[in-house]
Amino acid sequence: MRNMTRQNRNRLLSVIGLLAGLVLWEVIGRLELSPAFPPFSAVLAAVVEVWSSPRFLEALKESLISIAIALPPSIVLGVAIGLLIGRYRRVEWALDPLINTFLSLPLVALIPVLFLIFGLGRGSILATIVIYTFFIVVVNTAAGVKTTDPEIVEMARSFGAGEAHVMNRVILPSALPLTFAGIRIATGRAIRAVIIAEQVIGLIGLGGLVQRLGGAFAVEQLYAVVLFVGLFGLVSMEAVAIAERKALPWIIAQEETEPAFQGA
Amino acid sequence: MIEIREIGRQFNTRDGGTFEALKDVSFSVKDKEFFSIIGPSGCGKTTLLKMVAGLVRPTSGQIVIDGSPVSGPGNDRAMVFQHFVLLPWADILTNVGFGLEMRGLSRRESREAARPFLDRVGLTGFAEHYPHELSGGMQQRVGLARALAVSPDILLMDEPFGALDAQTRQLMQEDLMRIWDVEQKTVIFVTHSMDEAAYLSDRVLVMDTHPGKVREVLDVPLPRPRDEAVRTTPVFNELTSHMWHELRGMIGDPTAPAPE
Amino acid sequence: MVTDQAAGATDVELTLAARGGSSSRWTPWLFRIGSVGLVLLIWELYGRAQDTTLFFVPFTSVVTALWELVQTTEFWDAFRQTFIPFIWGWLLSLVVGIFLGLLIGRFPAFDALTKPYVTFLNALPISTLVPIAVILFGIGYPSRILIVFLFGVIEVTLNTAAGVRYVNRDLVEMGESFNGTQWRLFRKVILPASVPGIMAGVRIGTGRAVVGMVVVEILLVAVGMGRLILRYRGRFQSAELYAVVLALILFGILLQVLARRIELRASRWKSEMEQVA
Ligand SMILES: Nc1ncnc2c1ncn2[C@@H]1O[C@H](COP(=O)(O)OP(=O)(O)OP(=O)(O)O)[C@@H](O)[C@H]1O
Ligand SMILES: [Mg+2]
Repeated sequence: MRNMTRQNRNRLLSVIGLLAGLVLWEVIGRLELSPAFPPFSAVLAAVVEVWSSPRFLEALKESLISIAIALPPSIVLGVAIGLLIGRYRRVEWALDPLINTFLSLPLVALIPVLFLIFGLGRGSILATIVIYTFFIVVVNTAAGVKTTDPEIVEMARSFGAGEAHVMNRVILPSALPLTFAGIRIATGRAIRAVIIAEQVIGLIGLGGLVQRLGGAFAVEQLYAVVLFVGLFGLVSMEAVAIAERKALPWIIAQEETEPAFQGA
Repeated sequence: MIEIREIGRQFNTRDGGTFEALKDVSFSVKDKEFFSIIGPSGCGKTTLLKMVAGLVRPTSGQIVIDGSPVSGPGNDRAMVFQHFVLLPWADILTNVGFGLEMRGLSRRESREAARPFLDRVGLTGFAEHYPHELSGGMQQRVGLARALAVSPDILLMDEPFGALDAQTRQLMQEDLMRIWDVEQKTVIFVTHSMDEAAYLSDRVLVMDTHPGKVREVLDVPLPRPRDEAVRTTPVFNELTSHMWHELRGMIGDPTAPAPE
Repeated sequence: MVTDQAAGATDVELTLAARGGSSSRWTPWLFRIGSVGLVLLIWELYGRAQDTTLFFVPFTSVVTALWELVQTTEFWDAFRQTFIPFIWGWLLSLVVGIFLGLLIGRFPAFDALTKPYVTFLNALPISTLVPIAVILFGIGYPSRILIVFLFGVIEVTLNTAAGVRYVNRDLVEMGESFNGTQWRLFRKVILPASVPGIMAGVRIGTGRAVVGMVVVEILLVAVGMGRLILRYRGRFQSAELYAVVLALILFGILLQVLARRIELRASRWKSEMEQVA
């Protein structure tokens, strides 16, 4: 009971914090301190206008297509490699240094090279999404496999289960929670990847729109797009989290791997 | 004098209901008395002790010490925790001095003042060791030294010897007796061990469970100072077997609701 | 099947390792070095097999180019221009992040008040704020500092807050039992107990700040390392471009290694405690 009211109190505080921030934003905007801070009401008007404009919808479509092309295969491949790494020591030894290298380097720095190799177009965007998402799925899946209780594997073996059976019935279920966590993180990173890659090109997608609006000093519209991108990120991650809870109602939080260079 | 007046305590359960941990608990502890609390696991001993320490609020009733109601922790009390609770990042001497530090002494002063207490619990050589380097029994002694170091009138001890093997436990009991003889503090001592309760105490509170309440308060008519020999006296045996019967009745009671 | 054989082999090695057998001690390294070597070899050969080194540059050419690059003053000038705003933004993100994180972790009300912003910024690709920073401050140091700061600060805040929030309840209760002031409780129990969380925030925040630094270089009109990238791209000096990228990466990894070192040292009591437990 007391917890309920505490929760409600916190929700109320969050709403108050939000409203206070918006009022402050409006006031700062009205003071015309800087062209970078238009009043919130103007941004809101821009939201209404921009979010339904053909230009925006076209950009959104471009970004979504890139994610739709690159993310699923990246996840599938990542899970497969992750399972192998988690299960077979030799695969782990062989791939660990490579995976770790990619996890501990600032991936954005590779973007100029990717653009050199794949050109100033969709190919580079897709490549950016893949390097941003693949390795994170791999490590989380591999870590998930490692959570398998070896005694359960032995037990399954003792009942005559073959490798395929062990993989399907024992290892995969144990690995699922962290695999899902990896997919959730990858989803957020895919959005970061597509945006930064498009920003570098500066022409297509939401990232391109951000660059063009910035260049044109169309600040209200710029804020409208930034708001959308942030909310879109929130909603997608939340969607994966909900799917996660639906699919795995038994899971309790496990420590997921999130490296420092978490995308742009 | 510590008066526990009709204490009750409920906890919220996860499903939105409430769980009654303690109900209508009343008793009092005299000055300089060694008072033990014994009862089955989960009957609310720790909760009760933490209430006296001022760490947990009763949902009903009140606790009065020397005429003034407890509203929080006080300098007159110090607690020895069931699970030691030492600062893992600080060495033993700092841990023993921690209470003093909390009361405003500097790190250096409190470490200085802590030394004799470290000696008293027999850990002289371990001042610069870290908690994880010590055995459970040694860690528990650090917890005891830490409580003693703030010179409390009332020492609240929550199963301080629960984690020890039988031999260490006996040694520690004797040490505690010795310390208590010298320091003359009021001690409230929670234990699972009937033998320990009888050996150490002036009186023993036997608690009932679900919800936790007072079953009876037993006098321990054994002369002091006590030594190992009292453990074989008829009075001692009668007392422990009485407690054993009482507690067995509770633990073995198949109608008792399952603990949460 | 190959996989079945591998599986059998794995189990044997597992038991060997469990028994502390030393016969396979070098096998892991054989695999590790072998695979890295193989990748570098493929990189090298594939690069050489190209008709042109415009797009894909062999590994050795990149290393050579980097070696020559670091001997030019121009490289170090560029590095300095990248590095100075990075340092400021990074330090600022640590200071502000730790401060905010302590407040958020300690005061649930403050946590609730700021939650909408923290959540939003955590989900937002910070690179979208680059144009706003430019409109605000132009393309000089201030906006570079701001961007690096924004990249780092969220992770530092979140990790610090988590560190404070999950301080062992028993420790706090023990501290309270000694009847000190709230401030002493904070300084002597909560703060030291939060150090592992704070240091994790410092490490992750450092990584993010490096990302911010690189983003600045590739999105802003370039003056530092970014200008070198632009120039080499314009002159089709791909090996040099690869080399600059490699330099940025090495810098990032170096900072990461340092941060991890510091983190491990500051959190040593925690790992030692866990080993015992
Ligand atoms: N903070 C809390 N929230 C909910 N329930 C609690 C809380 N603290 C204690 N309880 C419940 O109250 C009851 C009494 O707990 P307490 O720790 O006081 O028992 P105890 O007698 O010390 O047990 P033990 O001998 O095992 O130490 C238990 O059923 C416990 O689950
Ligand atoms: Mg207890």
